Amino acid sequence: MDPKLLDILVCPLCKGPLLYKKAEGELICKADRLAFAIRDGIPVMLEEEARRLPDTEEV
Amino acid sequence: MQVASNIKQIHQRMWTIGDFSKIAPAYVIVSENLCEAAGLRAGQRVLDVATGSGNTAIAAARRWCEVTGVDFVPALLEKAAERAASEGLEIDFRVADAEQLPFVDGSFDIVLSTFGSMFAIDQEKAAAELLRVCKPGGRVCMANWVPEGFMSDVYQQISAYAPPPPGVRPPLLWGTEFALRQLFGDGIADLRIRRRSVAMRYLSPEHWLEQMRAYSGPMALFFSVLPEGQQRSLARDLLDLAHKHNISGDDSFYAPAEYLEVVALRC
Repeated sequence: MDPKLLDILVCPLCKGPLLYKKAEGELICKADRLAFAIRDGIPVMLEEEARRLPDTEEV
Repeated sequence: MQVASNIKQIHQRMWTIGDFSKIAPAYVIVSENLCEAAGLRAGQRVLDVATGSGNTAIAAARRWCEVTGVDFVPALLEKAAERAASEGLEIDFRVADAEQLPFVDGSFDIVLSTFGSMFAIDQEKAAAELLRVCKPGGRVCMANWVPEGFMSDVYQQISAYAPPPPGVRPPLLWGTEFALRQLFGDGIADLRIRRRSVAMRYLSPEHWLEQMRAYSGPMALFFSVLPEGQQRSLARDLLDLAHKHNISGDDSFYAPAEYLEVVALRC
């Protein structure tokens, strides 16, 4: 993914910054504890589709 | 809150069933005209909200803009990406909701939406998001169906059979200056609007209805919730409407559908 585009990408809920986990293909919002998947190169920035991070998962 | 989220799920499903990419070709001209009205300049950063199969995003990319397109139906974005690739256009697509855009404030010079944000359930939220991601001095440009004419008659006919859930405001409000001024409030410095129409062409009124029932998500959903007798009666009423608006002068179907072209200057 183009790093320049990552600059403007935020969490759709809190509009806070996202952490790009390249290996997992996920964009993480630490504040909302949500992981947004990147499917076929397209980030899926929907709350309903996001993976909720379990309390045990360190970010 | 639960109710709102259920409506949203139904809304999302509504645009997933059917295949809007089969209907959208008729609106390519609307997107091209919107990009002209928006006064795009090459190199500008542009967002197309509810891009569907990509008409408006592609129109902007053809003008050398740096384009991002969002929609909440992944299958439509795949079509959009294929279309962009076939023209060798680089467009950044992502799955996102018009009411919850995943972008930093003021990320875009121009924010476009063609028959898109007007269908969001929460109109205030959708309007606020369009303004938020547009940079100060930038423009929010839309094409919205108006509450008169062919599309409005179709919408009202369907609503008579399958009324929208309580509290959901009619999308066609976005086609009025009054509602636009309310929705954008003091977030805009200037509002330019222009009434235009786009021609709907089909082989016959029957062909129009057949295509709508097969490929328009909303139409397919409304029909699917009605008992069979009412389905037949709604089909009859819609055909009557199509005949009423048909000005082809031959066996084919030709009806102008009016919309509002909106150019709002962000404060």
